[in-house]
Amino acid sequence: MELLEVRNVSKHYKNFSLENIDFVLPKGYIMGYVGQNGAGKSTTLNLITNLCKCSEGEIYVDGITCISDAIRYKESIGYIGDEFYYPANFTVRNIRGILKNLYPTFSVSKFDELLRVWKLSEKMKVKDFSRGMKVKLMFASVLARDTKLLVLDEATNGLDPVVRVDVLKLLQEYIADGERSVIFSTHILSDLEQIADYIFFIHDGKKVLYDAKDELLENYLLVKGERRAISTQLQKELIGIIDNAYGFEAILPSERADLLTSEFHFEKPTIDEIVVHYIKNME
Amino acid sequence: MRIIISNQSELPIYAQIREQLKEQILNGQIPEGSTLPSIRQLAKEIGVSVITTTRAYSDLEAEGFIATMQGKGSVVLSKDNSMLQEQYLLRIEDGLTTAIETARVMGMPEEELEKIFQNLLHEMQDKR
Amino acid sequence: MRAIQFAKIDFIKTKQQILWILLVIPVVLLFMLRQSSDSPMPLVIFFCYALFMALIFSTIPFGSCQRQETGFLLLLPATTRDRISGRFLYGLSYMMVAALVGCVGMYFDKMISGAVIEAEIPFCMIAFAVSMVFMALEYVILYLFGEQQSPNILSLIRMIPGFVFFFGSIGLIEGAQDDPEVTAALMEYIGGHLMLIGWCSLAAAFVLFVAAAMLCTAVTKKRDFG
Repeated sequence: MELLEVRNVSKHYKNFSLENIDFVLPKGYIMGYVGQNGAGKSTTLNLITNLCKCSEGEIYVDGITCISDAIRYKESIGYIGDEFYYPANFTVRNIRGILKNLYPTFSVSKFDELLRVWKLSEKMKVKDFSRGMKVKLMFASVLARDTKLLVLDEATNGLDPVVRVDVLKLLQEYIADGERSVIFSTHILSDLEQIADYIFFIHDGKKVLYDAKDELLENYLLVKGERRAISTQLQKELIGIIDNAYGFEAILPSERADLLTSEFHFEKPTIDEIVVHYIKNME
Repeated sequence: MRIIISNQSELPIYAQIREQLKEQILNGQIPEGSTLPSIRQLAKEIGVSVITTTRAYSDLEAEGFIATMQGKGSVVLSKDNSMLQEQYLLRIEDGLTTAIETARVMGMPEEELEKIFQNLLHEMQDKR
Repeated sequence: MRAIQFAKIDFIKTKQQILWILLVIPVVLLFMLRQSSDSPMPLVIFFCYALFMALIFSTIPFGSCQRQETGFLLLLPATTRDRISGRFLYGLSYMMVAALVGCVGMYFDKMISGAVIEAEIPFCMIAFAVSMVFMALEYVILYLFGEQQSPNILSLIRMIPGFVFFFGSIGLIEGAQDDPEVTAALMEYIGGHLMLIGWCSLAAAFVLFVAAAMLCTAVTKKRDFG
């Protein structure tokens, strides 16, 4: 059963276009939405949260669109942005009051419990919070109610490693019952890579790669060696060759591993490495 | 049960989980009939994706180490089922093949290799 | 009612600025009381002052509409109509408070100085109606520019009532001078039906106010964020 369906979605701006984005995210899984700054990550996520309207295509969250039932659609999404989105002079108490009155499923006791665990003061104004505290507060306000989909837009930017690890745990706990899903965008995967089930890689508003992460990792090899050792046939298969003074580095589809002679060194790539070479390939 | 994920390993993560579980089932650290943690539970605990863990479990299932039953989780099968026997045999062959290949590389005569094998057997018996 | 929640958000957001302005009010009041003891000032002026304050208060939330706040405000489970009704409610509530302050002031004045205030009531009603129209007009302009643009044009928008009063009254006086007969007839008619005109202007202002809210909702619905 799909939790998030993005169907042939396009969005046109004056100097940027998101074109024909199409993917699904089943219940109980995590998707990493990867790309460079300005590739269209935030635009896609803003379309999912319905901050922006699609020029073409439809988006379903748990089977409903923002047109068929706007209120329920919004209730089923929890959003955490790269910027802190509560007004600066709000206190935690103000936020709790508003959320309690607007979200029917908001649990004050759960919210307070999270505040206690994370040592967030109720009386402090949120503008005095550190970046880590702000992210935790956004998480607390989202996790204290019943949502189906978490949308994280660069939410781990500027977090220290300890808090990042906490966030990873939170996300995994969130999907643990197999009923809810997470989509997060990032330009540096590294720490989130391990927990992602699916990877969608976008470049310049267009899809480049979209697959289960394990498949992607298995489908490519990171090849290193000397430039002159590359045969014409191998040259055709290598993706995004990056040269340095003493050799090259590139990505090769695993099925063409037969082209590799003992002159080359190869190893399993990370998603970041695949992405880097793909972008290089498109330049 | 113990699982250590290494980023330096050449094995993909699902294979690391599979091999470590297999190892522990084979040497009896995970007793037969015991229930493994659920896929989602394990994924959460070791911080890897659900798909990765699912793959490790389905590999183990295909190789006859575990059986997954709806609602009961994954149970470690008894060692005398034929699939497992085959697995044991494969492991023995694997180990011996490596030994033979290494011996060939250094040009060791077969008799000497056999001798080493016999000696090791004796040594292990003595240890018991 | 979700709209009330949005009005509440506006109140919390603007609490600080409003506290500062509220501190100024006693000073103004004191000043005015001194004035009126020398030569009695029409109470309707006092009433207008209060409404003018309310008019300024009503636009404050537009100044602090940060782009990143949209991630919170726009994702709350509510419709655009709820959100904009909340803002109109917020503005209207200041008008109500201003009117209340005005009424209380008048009552005390009557107690103390025994002034006859009944004659001024229709004028107060008209002042209230005019203020409401001004607020609706300001809101429509602010929403036409969009919530993301509105902070930039806010100071300009706040000059509108001043401009309109200044140029409007000049125009009126000139018009009255051009055609004294009609003016006299008109004045007579107005003088005779003050209460009716008061109620009519209130009703018209209310209709305009609601229409403005609907227009703002329609405009904002079409708008994208991000």
